Amino acid sequence: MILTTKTQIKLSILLFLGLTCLIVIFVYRPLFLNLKNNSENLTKKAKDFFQVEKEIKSVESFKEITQEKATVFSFLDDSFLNFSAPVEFFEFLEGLVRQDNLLVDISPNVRAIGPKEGEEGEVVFKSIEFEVLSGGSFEDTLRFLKEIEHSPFLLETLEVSLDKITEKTTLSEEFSSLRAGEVLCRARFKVTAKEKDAISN
Amino acid sequence: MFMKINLLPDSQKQALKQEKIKLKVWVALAYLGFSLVLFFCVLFSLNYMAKAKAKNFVGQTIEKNNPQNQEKFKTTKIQIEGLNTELAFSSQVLINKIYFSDFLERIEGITPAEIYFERILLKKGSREVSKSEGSEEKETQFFAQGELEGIAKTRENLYDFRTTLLNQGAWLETVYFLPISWKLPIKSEFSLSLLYFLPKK
Repeated sequence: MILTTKTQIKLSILLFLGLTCLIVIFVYRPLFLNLKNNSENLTKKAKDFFQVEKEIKSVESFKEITQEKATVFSFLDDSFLNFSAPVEFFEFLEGLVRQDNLLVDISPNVRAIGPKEGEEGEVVFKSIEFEVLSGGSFEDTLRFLKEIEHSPFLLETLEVSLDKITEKTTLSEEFSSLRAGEVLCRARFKVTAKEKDAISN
Repeated sequence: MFMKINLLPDSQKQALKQEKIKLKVWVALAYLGFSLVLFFCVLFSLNYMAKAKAKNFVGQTIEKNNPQNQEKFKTTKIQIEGLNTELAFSSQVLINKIYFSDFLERIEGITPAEIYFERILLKKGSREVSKSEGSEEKETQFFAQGELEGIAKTRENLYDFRTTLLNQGAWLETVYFLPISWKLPIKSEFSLSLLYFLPKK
């Protein structure tokens, strides 16, 4: 059978179209889908990578900040008492007693308030209540109270009572040297504390 | 003048024309085929590159996200969260702090020489108030609740002192003298209650 040129052209076009369709369906389509998946995968992996890089940068910048502001962070840390051994507060009070001309006694009413334990690494604030008794002139008592309230510790004054000593006032042994006209002060403070042995900033 | 020489018969001329068209079609189809192959190559290269790049990102991410760095992230996260909690807590405590010594200084400053205090009791208290007038949103307001007992030289001195207290403005509220305080014209024993609000620090 001899094909005319016209038929040859038509057949060539048809054959080309058929082949193109087959190539599109069996080659291009899977390739496109594959490319789409790979692109999505690439976006996801790039995102993960940049996230990790960002975290590394944050860690480095945090380290820089903590080094730059070391005094601030140290001040913040020092404002919390060590719940297990609140030595700093007693030392601070001892310092004040030496400085001011006062008779001071820390009452045994030291109450530690510790909430339930937090998760690993979670900062759990506890508090210790101190009752401080002091005796002396009103001016010295006021200065003493002011120094405690303006101390670097994170504390709240819960109660203060000032009683003027008269001849009739019965005084305990520690305060027996106080004279009439002087003041007996009983102050209750709540100082915030944390377990410093467990968390170190 | 040129003359057109017409040597071929019509049928051969037609066949020659169709041959030319066939050649053109085949050239066009060859171009299209070549374009398809080229497009395939481009897609294949893109696909390969995406795959390789994703693999590269995965490798780098794994390298940077090693257990040592992960531990660093975890520690830093805990430290940052801890510091944020501490800062927020400290700020809250300081905002709500009442300085009892400030109250004593202020009250000392406005007390005339004719008034003597025998006993001062201050307790920290709080109440819920609307954030603004007509607003249902509440906020906690902290204050020191004071109970003061003492002696005034004369009833007039005590009355003047009451007037002074009432004119103090925002830092003193609900100034109330027990009615019995007004009983004696001289050496009036008085009992006074008041609320002291922050000048916040």
